[in-house]
Amino acid sequence: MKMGTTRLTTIQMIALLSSTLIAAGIFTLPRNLAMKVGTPDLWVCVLLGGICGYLSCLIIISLSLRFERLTFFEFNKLIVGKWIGTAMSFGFIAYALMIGAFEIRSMGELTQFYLLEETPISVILISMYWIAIYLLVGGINPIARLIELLTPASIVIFILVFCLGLKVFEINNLRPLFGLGPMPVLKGLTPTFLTFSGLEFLLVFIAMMQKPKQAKKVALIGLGIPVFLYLLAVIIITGGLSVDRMTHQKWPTFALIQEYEYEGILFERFDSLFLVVWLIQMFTTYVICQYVAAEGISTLTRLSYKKANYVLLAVVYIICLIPQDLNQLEKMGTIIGWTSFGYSFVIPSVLLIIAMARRLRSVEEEKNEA
Amino acid sequence: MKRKLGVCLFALLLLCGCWDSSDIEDMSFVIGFGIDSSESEQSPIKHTTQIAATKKKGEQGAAPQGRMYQDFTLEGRSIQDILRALSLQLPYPVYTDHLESIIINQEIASKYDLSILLDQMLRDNVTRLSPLVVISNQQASDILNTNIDGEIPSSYISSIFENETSTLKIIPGVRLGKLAANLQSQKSFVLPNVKKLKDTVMVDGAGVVKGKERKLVGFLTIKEVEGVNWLSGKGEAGLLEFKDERDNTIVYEVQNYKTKVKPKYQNGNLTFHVQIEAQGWITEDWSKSAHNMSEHYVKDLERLAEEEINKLVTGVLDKLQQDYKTDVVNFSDSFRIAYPKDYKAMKKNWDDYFSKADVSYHAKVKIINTGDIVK
Repeated sequence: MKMGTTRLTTIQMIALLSSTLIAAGIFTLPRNLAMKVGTPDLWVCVLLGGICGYLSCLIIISLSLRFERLTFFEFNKLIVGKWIGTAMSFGFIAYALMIGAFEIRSMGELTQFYLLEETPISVILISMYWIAIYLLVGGINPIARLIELLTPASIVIFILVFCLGLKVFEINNLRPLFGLGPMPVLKGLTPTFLTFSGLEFLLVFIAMMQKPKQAKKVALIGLGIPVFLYLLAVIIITGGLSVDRMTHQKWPTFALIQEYEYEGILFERFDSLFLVVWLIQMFTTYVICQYVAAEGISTLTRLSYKKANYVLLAVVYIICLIPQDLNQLEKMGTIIGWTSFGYSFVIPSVLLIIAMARRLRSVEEEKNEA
Repeated sequence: MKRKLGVCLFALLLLCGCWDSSDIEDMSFVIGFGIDSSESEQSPIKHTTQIAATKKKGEQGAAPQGRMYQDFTLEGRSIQDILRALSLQLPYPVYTDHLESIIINQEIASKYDLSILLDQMLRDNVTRLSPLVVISNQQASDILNTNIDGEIPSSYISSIFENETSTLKIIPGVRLGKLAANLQSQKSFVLPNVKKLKDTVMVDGAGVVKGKERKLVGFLTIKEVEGVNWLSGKGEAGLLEFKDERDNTIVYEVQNYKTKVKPKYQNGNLTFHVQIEAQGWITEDWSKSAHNMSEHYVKDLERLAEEEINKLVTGVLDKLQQDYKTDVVNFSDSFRIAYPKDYKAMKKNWDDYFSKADVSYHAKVKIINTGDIVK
């Protein structure tokens, strides 16, 4: 075995999944939704998007459970043959790297805009990369444990910061529900689903679970937490800013936090607190992406996991410098979203259908070994 | 061991510093902005920056009556350029994170689209969306230069708006973020108007901004502001002063009130019914024949108070519908909720629809307590 043999506990998996999903979307989702939907029904989209996400999770899970202890990189060959399987795997690796690069770049851009105006963006990016690589070479266990530690705290702070936004909340901004019929809601499904890109990593992680049977529970809670957070964010931002305003604000989330001030308690302004927690979430998302990519490389090639990590570090850095400006970065986000749709829904369903048709199951001795 | 030490020393080199560090004493904290129009055509904007005198504060006990702020008035074509031009006369870079109020002179507010005037502040990454925006029919630079003992005028102004619980003669302060929302959805709204007195500043009525042009179109008096508050339901609490049949003054303290607007849209006819419900106390009564234990008397007072509210509302509605033709009392919100599809089509010309709408209103006043005296 390449690294730690201990498997991931169910709680670690929940933390892992939810912190993968909480990422740049906190900042970009509200505006994308508002632009697509245009009515106060935004939050319904988040809920529906979450349900869709859960359905595709179920497909991924039933696929993964057919091949116990095998990751996506290993079992796709069994289903569709070596060549197509390898192509799929490399596509998956490239996709994981793209998400990672996208998250880090978005993080860098926002940090530069709001916090460190003078600092060169490369310095912000590279310092993140270095910390990440230190964590990554240790394998999945330290990653999982760190995330298990950080996720509850960040969730609490997210909820706190959003709830404080109730100070500027106006319920009328959320009314009426389905004023223009259900059509706008359907339009909003795409951006929401794109926000939940990252759940396809379950294809890799289920193989590492201590109790793969609990994967459904993991999907439900691990997806439920981010859906709840996004729901809370979208409701409070819509109530605080109104839909019209959301379409005109580059980062509505930050606009909301900047709009209120509290006097007489420990903090008066909550922008920095929020950014810190968000940075942590971006970092964990990136680490998970890079882990998946490195794991894939080491499965497919002779490169060891450690070496793969160092090589990929350079690749990610180059990818993340490709977008020239913020608009291109946003385009990259959309591309990622659509690829995510492929890997979280289309490919797993196709694989599952083929596997069912060919009655493929994992070999029994694997189970005995575990 | 030596190698480890070497690594440590090398790591120290990496900790050489932070690009963005700036010492707090080397920054100019901007507390207020004032925007006036200037005479010259080359530089149409006259912009005043109010900076807190942090240097003086450090020296304890030294001249507390000295000015706590510094004003810089510059002319230019864009606000960003004016702010940068400050660096020719101010050694410390300006920092707008603590901006408290923005004062806009009526002349420039009726000449320029407000979203253009405030564009720099909305675009900027340091300026927050929490400063208050007020209008003034005097020069903003004069108001920022009011000599209030031990106070900075711009933070003084923003503190006045905390009084919205004690008077209905003030409209709730408009934050920059809220203003941006109104501008972007092209909704009409009111901005408080401030006036300089000898050594204080007071809030005096409000300015009306028409949503379509995003320009200032007129002013409302204090009495009319009261009417706006009753109609929009946005006020917190305050007083209602009225007279009884014998011309005695009676003061009703509104503890809380609710305004419900019911729109009706049929065959192109737009009507609104406004239901106002208030609860409160009698806090001053000049009539000698008062019998505040008698139910009859209290009912009488309630009726008089209702009449007074109706009077206030009629006054301001006439002005809004006839003169300004703007919906600043937020009837559009209730209509949007009740008729979302129709609103989508009418949104662009909402103010016209509003000015032609029939508005009926009914006030209901409840006196809970007549105070600690029995006459």
